[in-house]
Amino acid sequence: MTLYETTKILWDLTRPAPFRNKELVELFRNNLNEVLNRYDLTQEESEAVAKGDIAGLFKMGVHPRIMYRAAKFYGVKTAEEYMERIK
Amino acid sequence: MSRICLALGGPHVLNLTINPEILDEELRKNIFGSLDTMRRRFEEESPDIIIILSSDHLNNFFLDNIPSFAIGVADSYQLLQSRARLDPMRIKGNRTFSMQLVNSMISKGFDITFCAEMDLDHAFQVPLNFIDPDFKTPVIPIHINSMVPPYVPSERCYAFGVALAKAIAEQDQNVKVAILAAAGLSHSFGDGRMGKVADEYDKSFLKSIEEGRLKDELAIYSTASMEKAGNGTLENLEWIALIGSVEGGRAEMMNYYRVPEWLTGLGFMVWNPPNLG
Repeated sequence: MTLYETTKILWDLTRPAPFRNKELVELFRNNLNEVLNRYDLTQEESEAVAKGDIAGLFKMGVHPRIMYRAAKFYGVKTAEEYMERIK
Repeated sequence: MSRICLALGGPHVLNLTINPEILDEELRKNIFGSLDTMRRRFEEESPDIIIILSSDHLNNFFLDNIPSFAIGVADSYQLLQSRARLDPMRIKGNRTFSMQLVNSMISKGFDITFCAEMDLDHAFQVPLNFIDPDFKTPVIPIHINSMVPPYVPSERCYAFGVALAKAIAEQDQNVKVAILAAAGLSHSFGDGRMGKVADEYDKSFLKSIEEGRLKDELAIYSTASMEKAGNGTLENLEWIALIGSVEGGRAEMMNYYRVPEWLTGLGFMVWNPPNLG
């Protein structure tokens, strides 16, 4: 179930504008552990989410569509950059 | 008794609204010319309702609850746009017609999900933006899961389309219905194949539709073969359901463009249902 939780935290952080959880995103930026503790994540998953480890999260099996959104959230600008970062 | 007056197939790729200028002029003209043809035929038929077959892109639904088939039963729907140059707004639905469809489909053995609230992402919005730019025609959104395995088999999607046509014909309201498959052809999104387009697969699929062979070739266009052509190619399921709903008709327009710049193959179709000859 932890892959589900990893995907869920990334989904929650990257909802489209009308549903964006601004409080959660702000908390993630300012008080990371408080957000991470809300989800049932392993140490490895927590670290990957915290660091924005795109290759690590991709290899864990986060759904590709959520993964791409997450990459944008972590600052990836283009599809080409994304392709490099998931390697 | 209602009837299907027109079937349309077209892509929902966001790039249509974001960066058409990156394509060469001839390709751009062909793509937007195809959309113009779809819009003109839509205006000529002047349907009372448009049913949109597409797949929510993990915006409305999440992994906690993924329906295989879901029909919107609201009087209006929120359009979700955050990245395209399209406005978030509410568009009209038709709750009565939707609920009758749900009842008919369930009586025909399709245990579908129905949604009194359903927010429509770019997959539903982008082609509609070109076909009915003022969003005047009430919409009935039908989600066919193309995002998260396991997927409904091609044969079941075709049967869904056949049942949908019968369900439309049974309705109390005497309305003209257009059906739009708002779906891509081959593409991958978010995996290591992003940018690859299986154009031979796409052309073969559209040819099968155009020549009326699809019903007999559903095993060729299985969900496994779609996955092989790219994780987004599962959206072919919406095309298959569309063709099931108008089997026996004929293509008036069928265009295909390979557009690696937008990471996808694009199909554009105008299809006259059997009653139009």
